[in-house]
Amino acid sequence: MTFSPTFRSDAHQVARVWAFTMRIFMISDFFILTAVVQPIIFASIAFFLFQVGGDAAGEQTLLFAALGTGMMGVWSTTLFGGGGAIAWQRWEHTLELLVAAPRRYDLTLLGQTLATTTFGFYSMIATLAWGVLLFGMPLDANWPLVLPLSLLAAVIGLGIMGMLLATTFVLYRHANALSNLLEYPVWIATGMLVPLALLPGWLGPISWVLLPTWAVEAIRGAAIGAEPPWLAIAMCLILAVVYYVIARRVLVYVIDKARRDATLNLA
Amino acid sequence: MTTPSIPSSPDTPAIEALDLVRTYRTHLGVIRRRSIEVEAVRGISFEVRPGELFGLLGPNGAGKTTTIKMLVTLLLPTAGSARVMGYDVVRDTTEVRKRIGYVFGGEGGLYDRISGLDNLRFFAELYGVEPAAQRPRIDAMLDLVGLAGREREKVEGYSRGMRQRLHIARGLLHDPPVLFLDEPSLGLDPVGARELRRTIADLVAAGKTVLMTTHYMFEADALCERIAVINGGKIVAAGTGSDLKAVIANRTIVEIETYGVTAEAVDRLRADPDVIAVNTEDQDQSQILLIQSERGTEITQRLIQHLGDTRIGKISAREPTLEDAYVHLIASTGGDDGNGAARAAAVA
Amino acid sequence: MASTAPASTVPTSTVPSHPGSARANWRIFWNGGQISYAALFNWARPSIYIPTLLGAPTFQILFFAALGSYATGMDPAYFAIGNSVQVCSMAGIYGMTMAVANERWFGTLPTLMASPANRAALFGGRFIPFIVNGFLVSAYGFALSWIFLGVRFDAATLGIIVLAMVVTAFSCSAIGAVQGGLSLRLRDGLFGANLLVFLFLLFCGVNIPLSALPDWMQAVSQVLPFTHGLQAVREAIDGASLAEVGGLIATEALIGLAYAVAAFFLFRWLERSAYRNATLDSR
Repeated sequence: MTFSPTFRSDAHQVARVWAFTMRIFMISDFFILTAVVQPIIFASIAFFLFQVGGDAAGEQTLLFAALGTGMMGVWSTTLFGGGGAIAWQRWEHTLELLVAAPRRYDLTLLGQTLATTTFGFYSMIATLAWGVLLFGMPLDANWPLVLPLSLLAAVIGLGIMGMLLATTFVLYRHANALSNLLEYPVWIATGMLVPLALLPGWLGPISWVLLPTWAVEAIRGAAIGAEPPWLAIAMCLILAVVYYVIARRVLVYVIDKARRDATLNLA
Repeated sequence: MTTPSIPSSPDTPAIEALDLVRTYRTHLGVIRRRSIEVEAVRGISFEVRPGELFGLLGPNGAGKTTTIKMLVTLLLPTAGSARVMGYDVVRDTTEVRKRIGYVFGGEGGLYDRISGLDNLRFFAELYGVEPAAQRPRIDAMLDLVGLAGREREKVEGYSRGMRQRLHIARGLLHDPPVLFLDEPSLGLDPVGARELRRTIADLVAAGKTVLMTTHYMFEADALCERIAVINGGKIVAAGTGSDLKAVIANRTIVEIETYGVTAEAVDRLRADPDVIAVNTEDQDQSQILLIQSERGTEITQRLIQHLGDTRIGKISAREPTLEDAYVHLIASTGGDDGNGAARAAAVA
Repeated sequence: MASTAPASTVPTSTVPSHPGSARANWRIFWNGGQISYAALFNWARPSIYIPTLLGAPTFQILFFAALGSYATGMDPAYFAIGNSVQVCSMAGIYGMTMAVANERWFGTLPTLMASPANRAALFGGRFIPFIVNGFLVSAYGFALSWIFLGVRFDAATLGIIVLAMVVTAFSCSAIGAVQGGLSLRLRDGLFGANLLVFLFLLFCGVNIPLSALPDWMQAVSQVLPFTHGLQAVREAIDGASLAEVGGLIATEALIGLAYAVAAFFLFRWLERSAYRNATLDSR
């Protein structure tokens, strides 16, 4: 199967932006805190709590906790890095330049949010390493061949969700406040650390339309699930497409509005 | 405010600097750090009489801000001493701070998120203004700087000029006898700058002592009774505007506008025995050559000959201004690369 | 303006002012503190305050109540109480850090330092608004815990909780001030602030009972804010009287005082260091 030149060129743009943004994140204090330090601290809290509970499932529980807190970190990075992306660009006066550039802005944004999420997966590495080093957690996946697919689906899905967050957050004057607000709720509603089965029933439908629910399921299923998580992977990709379509529409609206209201460049 | 315990007379200088020196230690490099010493101020002495408007003039990096910071007790001198209203800036910092107002140009210095009025109320508390006297004084200062009616707006919405005026109002809240203004018209538009100068002149007329730094020398010429020119951390000349101009009073300046003058042509000009100095200023499409020569020598023809094929625009001859004196001083004391950088900085 | 001076004196100011007097110092502390709060606290506007200081703590309490009870089998009320106390760090830690960072950002440090204002009054005045704010956020947390998570206490206990919370909000603001001072020298203020807030979730008995922590972590918790105040609150809710928990509250107050004094000397040292080495202005 050969790809059309346009698609190749678009993919190339996304890839270039992705690589560039990754380099910036590597040296950012804030993202090191969000992607590494914070998840490790939460992983420690989870490990201790499960120890107090005298967990019966043993090693599985540790892995469950490590994966859960790792995903929490991925979400935090996606939320702050993705959700704040446009607002941040506006603040540092690069938004105007990016929008006025000949290459499509939505692809640039996508490259950035994909990088954010990729970087967020350092959280997963951090919490797994922490569990192995400090709590003697054995590393073992039930479905090792499916795991890379799960990871890929998760990164793509959450990266696109980051783009959706970026476009919708910027509609609110204080995007940062929204980022602060939505960290814990999504951790709860997507069953990252507390199984959804134990939460009130009405959370169920909400969780199904939230992509992180399926991302967690996909990765957890490949690691400690009884069956390969094909449904979760599929849902990740389906929701990714849906989110992408919505994000594109909102982005067009947002940029046009900004051009009309002269707010592309706001201090 | 209580009268000072140090006996003083009208002859006591309001500001006194004696061999002020300030060196910084700074580091170069990240992996292999070398520590070097930078001498920002290398022995500065001057006096300002009560009620005088004194100007400290010099290019960027000459040491003006460092000097002012030592005088307003924000920076410890490495050597030397200074007194404000008779109080030593190192030993009696609190007494000095009670008697000075410090205003600086450019960004910063005010709380953007609250109103101008709240900014003034805050600083009135810091300066210890009696509560009953605060509101009348704030209102009076707002009137003085022309911000009355705008004080309830948040400072983040103020224009540059308004911020500068609020700065001045702030610095005057406690009616200090001595005012330090560090580049007060920096970033102001011409109208705003002119109003600022009028305000400063009024303050001095009312008896305040003002020390002002600037790199606009027409401003210094217009306002200041005495001027000290700083370059490379030292005072290279001091006196009234006329005194400074006298340095090159017996010269003529020939201004030649050229298009695409070459370095060789300029060298030929410099090589002429009657030419004392040549400074160049780059404009968009042209270069202005300023050729200094002894008054009375007629060299215009020779200059044109030296320039050869160079395309020439306007030619004029004139008396030297303070600006020329300044450029000469800076250039001859090593602060210039010979291409009019000093003049460009001076007219910036 | 200045009066015509008699021959033997220098001109005096026509505006009556007494910098350094007790009254001036009090006003810097009280009035100045309030103005500083409005000027420097990023989250003072409702559009930010509500999501950040009320919204986020709500979900934090719910999250840990769910996680804690699931993982340990303990009553969710345990975690609700711990986190209701901890959330005053939103104001104390972040607020104090922001106050310091914003002074640097707005370039107001030179104007402050060149004034004759009493430094202790200037420093102390920052605390009160953040103590009040922190207390209110925790009170909100307790209200939530009452409504949704089964936390119950009577009027006498409420009095003890209020006292413990005021003291804890103070000690939290005090360590926030230390953090703020350190952040003037180290690069990113918010990094340290976030780190502190997360560490409080791990230590101090907020989520994990102290006895379940390794010895060294218990020892560290003993010198951090929250630990003693929270213990007092827990015991009071379990029925202890003021006499029984008074020692814990006093210990919390002392810890707070120690951090406050340390912070004050830190800022004094920073000011002197800037005075000697010109480190005041870098944005």
